[in-house]
Amino acid sequence: MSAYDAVVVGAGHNALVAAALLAREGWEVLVLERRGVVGGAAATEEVFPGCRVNLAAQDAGLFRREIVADLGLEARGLEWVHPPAVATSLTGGGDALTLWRNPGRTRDEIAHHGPADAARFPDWADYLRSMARVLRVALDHAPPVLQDASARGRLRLLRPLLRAGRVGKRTVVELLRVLPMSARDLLDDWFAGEALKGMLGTTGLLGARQGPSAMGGAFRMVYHATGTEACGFRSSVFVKGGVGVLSEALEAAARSHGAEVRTDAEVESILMEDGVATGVLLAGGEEIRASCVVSGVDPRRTFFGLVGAPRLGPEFNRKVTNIRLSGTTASLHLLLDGLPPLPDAAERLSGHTLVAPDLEYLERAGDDAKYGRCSARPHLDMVVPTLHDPTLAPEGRHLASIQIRYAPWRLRSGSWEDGAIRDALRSSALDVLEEFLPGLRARIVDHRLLTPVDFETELGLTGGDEYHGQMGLDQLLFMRPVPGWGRYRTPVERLFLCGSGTHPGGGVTGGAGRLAAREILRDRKLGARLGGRDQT
Amino acid sequence: MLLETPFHRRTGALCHHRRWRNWSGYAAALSYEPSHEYEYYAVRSAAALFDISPLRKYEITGPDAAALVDRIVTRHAADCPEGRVLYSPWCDEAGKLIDDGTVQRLGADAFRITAADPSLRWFQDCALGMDARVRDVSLELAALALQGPTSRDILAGLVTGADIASVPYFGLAEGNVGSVPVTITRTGYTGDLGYEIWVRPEHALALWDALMEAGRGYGIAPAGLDALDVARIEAGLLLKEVDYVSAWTALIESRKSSPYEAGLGWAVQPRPGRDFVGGKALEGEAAQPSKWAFAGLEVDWPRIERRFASVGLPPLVAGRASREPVPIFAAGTQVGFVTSSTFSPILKKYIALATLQRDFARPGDRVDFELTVEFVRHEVPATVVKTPFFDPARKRN
Repeated sequence: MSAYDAVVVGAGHNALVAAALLAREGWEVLVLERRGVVGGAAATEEVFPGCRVNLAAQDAGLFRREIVADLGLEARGLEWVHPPAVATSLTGGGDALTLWRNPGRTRDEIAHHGPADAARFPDWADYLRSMARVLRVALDHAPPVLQDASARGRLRLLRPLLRAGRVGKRTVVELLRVLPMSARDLLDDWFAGEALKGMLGTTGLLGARQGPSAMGGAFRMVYHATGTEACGFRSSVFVKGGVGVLSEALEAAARSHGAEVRTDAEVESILMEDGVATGVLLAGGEEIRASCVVSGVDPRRTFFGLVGAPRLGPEFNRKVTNIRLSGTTASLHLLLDGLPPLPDAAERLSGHTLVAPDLEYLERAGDDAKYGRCSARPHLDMVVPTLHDPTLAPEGRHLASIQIRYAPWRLRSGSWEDGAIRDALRSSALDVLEEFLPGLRARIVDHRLLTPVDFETELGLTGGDEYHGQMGLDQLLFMRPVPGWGRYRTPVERLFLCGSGTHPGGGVTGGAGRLAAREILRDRKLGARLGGRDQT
Repeated sequence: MLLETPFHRRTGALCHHRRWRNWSGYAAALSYEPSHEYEYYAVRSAAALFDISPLRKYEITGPDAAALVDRIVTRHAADCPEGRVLYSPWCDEAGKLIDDGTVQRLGADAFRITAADPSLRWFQDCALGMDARVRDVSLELAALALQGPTSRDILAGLVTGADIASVPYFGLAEGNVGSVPVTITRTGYTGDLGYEIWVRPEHALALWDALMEAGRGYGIAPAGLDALDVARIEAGLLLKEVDYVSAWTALIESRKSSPYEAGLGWAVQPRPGRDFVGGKALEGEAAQPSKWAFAGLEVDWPRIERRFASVGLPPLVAGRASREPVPIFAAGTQVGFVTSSTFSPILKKYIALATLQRDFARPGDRVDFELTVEFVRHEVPATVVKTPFFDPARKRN
């Protein structure tokens, strides 16, 4: 008899969402986390003495509010921060363009750079919101199984379409037109100002290895606008105390529903009998039996690392091999003895602070990555969490976490083990930052660089890919993680996926965990078995 | 422009009328003489020499080689002892046939697989996560098939370093022909006593010459694909893309065949704990059989003759094997189709390989074979029989 109804591998935010939702249904759930803290890539840790730093993820604006309500996260310590600035683009020489949470203020600000763009921006914000609203319908449903020809299956296929249709047929058609476009083409349709386009185009780069001229950039822009607030750009919502507080609140919710969460418990492999998952084997040799195994780990690590390719079919393995898992982002964490000398720094730096002066700058940064090099002049995305919660660092100190794009996991020449390559990346990032934010360098007290290889070794992200698979059009919806397996199930019976590698995808959304839990609960075969268990 | 096999300098000189068929891109003789009849009788009463170099050959080596081969093929290859060969099909994950060939176990950790079509990537995909290496050795090995009742005597007098007389059916031996090292397997595609000889291409001509010389007193004859096609139907052996459609080339799902549907159910060998590609799907099919089955048919020859005679013709049935699909009926309803058929010179019967609905495929079942005479379609009776149609004791003894 199985000891648990479900054992969840990894305690990333999606895994915790799945665990909490399963436990809420009365399942006996055990979560196993290799590291000492929960959260995975959404963890906050002491990187500098006395400072709490968001290791990888910064922004939690895409997190589904339904989960917050379902699991009562706000009663468990979760507090949102909506800073006055959504984002600030550093346009060079200490100048800046800020998109404010207040639309009127944004309009005035853009008007300084280009009156025509300022007039169009409110329409753009509406447009992006309507696109995002339709996309949300697709993202909030488990993807359709195209080969399911049953009437029931067809109905399930239709349901999201009908719901999306209610939002507006014309919007649906427009979305289909726009999704494959490049960020550049979409933005050229709307704006003239290079600074504005460069800034808005940055979300087209997230989870992709290509620059703003690549297909699918428009999809990524809309994806990152599916947060709760519509501001014409990406979400810019943070968690007081760091994003790790969200993960801790999820852990608390899971525990309150009876789930066990064990840290420092590394799963070495998934146990199987006759092609059916029966539990997990821990690195220490302990075997834990469960009626099903739910993996929050990325698909390739789950299948090749924990299951083992020889236990899966060659056609499936080929698909898993072909998943594009390639991290392109490094994180540079800075401890500062004060804010950089920018007018209204405390306000302007409170959202995402970007070095993306124009689309060509981003394109050239992407070109380097295309040829396996770190960008000579990288695109930077800086968040100053101490402006959201000053207690994250000792008094008088500030933290800045900078995502450096691009720093490809696979370098054409050299290795990330080489200190010189890490130093070169750090200094090119700091040089660029000093150029766009003069005076920052003098404020640096301490720094720590995390490369894609560090993400792989420390957080278990294959290829250093924080999205568990690139957010390309070919790796979305029913094609995520691989075609034919888009509904959280796997070729191994009773093994499910629930991480960012599954639909809807990466970012701190909780969506994958929520939809996976729903599908697992719906799995009738498993239901029958668990029903039997309840009776004994 | 067709490629030439390492034997082409000999076969090209012998194939006077240049009747070549494209076999995997190589020029392969259909027959050396204007008709294949003499070559066919060489298979059944003397010895025929076929150039089978166009076969694809793969070498699998490494600590997990046995496990990998066992994962690829439907037969329990891990059980195959060293120095033995086994015939097996292999399937995709849905349990549908991809290809079939022979598996030679050269050593504890070394195998050689023959295939009709390129399979390197598939074998390598199967090897993912295993400590085994798959290499395409198609160009590193030339091969001849020496088939027929006198083949053993020819080889016994020629090969040194191996006792040919003691090589069992589906056995393997390493030896020398003169100074040329060869691998000899007691295998073939004729259902007769016979051997296949594997050699490095640079020694190909020396091997050919030695065999032709040694075979002179034993009625040896170079033979082409026309003779082979008749012999393989008599032996009940399948031809890929004729008797079954590979899962890789089938345009629609219903064209694919499982081993059970192709009469290869005996080659599906699940074992407790054994996990081979397609195994799960085949387990399901074994429990719930498909409606299709493989069958051998004997068509009523006198009735064929009578049909032709009624319009004043002798039986215009091709002297060669036919790959034309022919509908099969039972009580006026189509219940299947013939995939290969031939007049068997040695049995004096018209025989066919067919895919029939299971209920009509039991030995002894009577069905009707469609025969078109002077543009008019008729039905002539046929009986389901066990294959092989021709199975001489010398094949195994």
